[in-house]
Amino acid sequence: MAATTTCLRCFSSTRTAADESVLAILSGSTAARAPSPPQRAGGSLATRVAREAGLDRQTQTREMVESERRSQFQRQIYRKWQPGDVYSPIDLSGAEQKKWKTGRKKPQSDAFDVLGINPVLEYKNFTIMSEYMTETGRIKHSKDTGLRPKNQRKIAKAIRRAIGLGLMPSVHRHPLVLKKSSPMRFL
Amino acid sequence: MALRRQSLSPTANLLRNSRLFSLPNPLPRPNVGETYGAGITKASDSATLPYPTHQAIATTKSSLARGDWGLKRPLPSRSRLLQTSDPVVRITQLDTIEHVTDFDSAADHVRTRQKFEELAIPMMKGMTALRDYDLSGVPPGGAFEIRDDTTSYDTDLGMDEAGMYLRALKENAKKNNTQPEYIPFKPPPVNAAVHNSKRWKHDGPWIPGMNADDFVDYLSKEISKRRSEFNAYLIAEVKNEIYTTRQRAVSRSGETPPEDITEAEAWEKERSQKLAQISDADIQAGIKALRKDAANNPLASKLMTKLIVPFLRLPTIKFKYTAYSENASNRDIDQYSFDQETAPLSTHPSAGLGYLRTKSYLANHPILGPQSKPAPVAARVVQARSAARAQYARLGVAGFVANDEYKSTDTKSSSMNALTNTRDVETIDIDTPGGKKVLVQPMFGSVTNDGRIHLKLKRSVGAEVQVAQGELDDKPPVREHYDSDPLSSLGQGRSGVKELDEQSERARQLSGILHAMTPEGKGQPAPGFPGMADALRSS
Repeated sequence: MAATTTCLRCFSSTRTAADESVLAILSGSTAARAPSPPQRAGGSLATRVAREAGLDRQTQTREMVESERRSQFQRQIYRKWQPGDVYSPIDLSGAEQKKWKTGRKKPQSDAFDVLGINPVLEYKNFTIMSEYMTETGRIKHSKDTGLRPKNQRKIAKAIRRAIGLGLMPSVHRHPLVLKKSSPMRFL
Repeated sequence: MALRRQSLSPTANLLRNSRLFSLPNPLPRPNVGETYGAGITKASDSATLPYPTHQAIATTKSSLARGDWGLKRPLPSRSRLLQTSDPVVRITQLDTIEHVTDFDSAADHVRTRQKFEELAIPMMKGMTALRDYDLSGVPPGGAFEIRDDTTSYDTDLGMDEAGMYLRALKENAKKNNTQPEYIPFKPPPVNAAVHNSKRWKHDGPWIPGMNADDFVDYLSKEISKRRSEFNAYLIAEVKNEIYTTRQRAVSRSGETPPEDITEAEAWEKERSQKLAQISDADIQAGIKALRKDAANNPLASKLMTKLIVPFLRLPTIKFKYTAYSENASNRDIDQYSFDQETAPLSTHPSAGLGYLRTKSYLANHPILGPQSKPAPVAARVVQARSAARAQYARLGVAGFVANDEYKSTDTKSSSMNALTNTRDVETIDIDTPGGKKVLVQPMFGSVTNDGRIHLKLKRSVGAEVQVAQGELDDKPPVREHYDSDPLSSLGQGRSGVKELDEQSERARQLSGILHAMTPEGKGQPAPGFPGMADALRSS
């Protein structure tokens, strides 16, 4: 019986064919009630040969169940390790993994301070302006831009000025920016 | 002469010996976290940093019992951080407004360093050997090679070729200032083996890594002071260039001196005087030409490589043309980036982890004697290959995360055959208690300029694995792929053609069984699976 089901499952490529109901019918059949002795023994030459030919390999459904189980564990690991990272046991714990689950969007430093740029003077640069406005043309809050208050006021002024001068649309980003960049960039 | 301990006042002595004053200022906290394309950063504030930023301190057993760590106040011995067998702490704040000493366990990096010591691998210089395919073919240099490790600018050993040139130019300019007639300059002899070395420490800053404010400060505070000094070099260099070009032109013109000796001397003298007459206009023109060259090609120009870089003692700056690299960006700005691999290190190339110079030592086994390879190290599969869709699985060795030896695309049969488990590091292993471990041979470590330690790992396959597993049978060495009787496979009732013959005993058995199972005649199909035999046989 064991060999019979294994063989059948091996040749079934879909879930339905390997269904238990099908197997139930088989077990009720005459062949199952009086199976041939060498097949039951499992040690016969034919069984051994069949096993070596790979007929007792994991079936597709079993493989799917296994991989689903693995991915359930894998899904709880959020940190992507880079070569050169140092870890101690605590870094492999669940509490630590949780911290890597959600991302922060706010930049850590003021971009204009780092670059040494005065944002007001950049009002003609619609690419910079587009970084600091939403899709619908609203000026982003400083909690999203990560700018210090002084630079936030200046960039807001620059955006208002650019819109007022007609250099930039007020309800969406500049068309050239939209055309050139992938939508993911401004998320 | 340094002050002697005894000559200091007792209070000064007390302070100098105290923990309070001997703790160095912490380094700035490195960034642990990943940034995604949309500007989202994922980070943890409590993750172990890639390098220690605070001094770790320990104390003796007897002081530990009293909670005495040499600080302003004793640390509470009931803290779980101090209840380990070998507590080490780092002090985040000596004294807070709540009158508490803020401390944390430093066991992470202290243990990591101890584990690294146990690996007994050397630290090497440079990341070239850690690339996927190292085309240079040069073994990585050790961190303690004397010519790379010289940081002084005073000795010959610490100079590179441009530095030697500039020093000779300086001496020549000094000579010419004291003497009325021009002495031509001869470039110094350079030993390529010594002077093409890359020092790890530079006096000058790494300019591509500066931000705008720092750069403006550097220009206005440091460089402007040295302008006149640099002009002297510039003029000496231009003079020398004009002189040599003139000399070459004269020698090419093929004039011969007169035959009479006195006349010849006079002619020679006149000629050299004419050569040495370099007007201010000539010099200005020469400087302009140099500047024009520098404007066209800033990094490779003569002005930059021969004068500016050695004068300011800058690390060499290189462009990296990445248009053809593996993950090249389409944006023009990304295609021209500075080569970060040539950026100077922020630490000594050994990163303070060890003093081993090479890995050429013999491991000794207590029973088997000297071994060709040391005992393998169990590496934790920290991240399976398919998990992050990365090329490499990440293995954790001694607390450092490193790339696996094999990529997902590697199909080298010789290397892959040796791996017994087919799944290997492809997916996460949830059945083994404690996670999957693989045996590796760490080769060496190398530090990048941001202070991260990269390890080169090789999978351990061979006798050392068996020794580690306790199989101590002393087998005589066997030649691989050696056939004692090469003619044995010929003849004996076979055709000799692989496709025609069934190769093994087992295959013949299988074919016999299948033959018996094949239904014959027109009757009902035999019990079993009709057609399966044919399908199996054809495969």
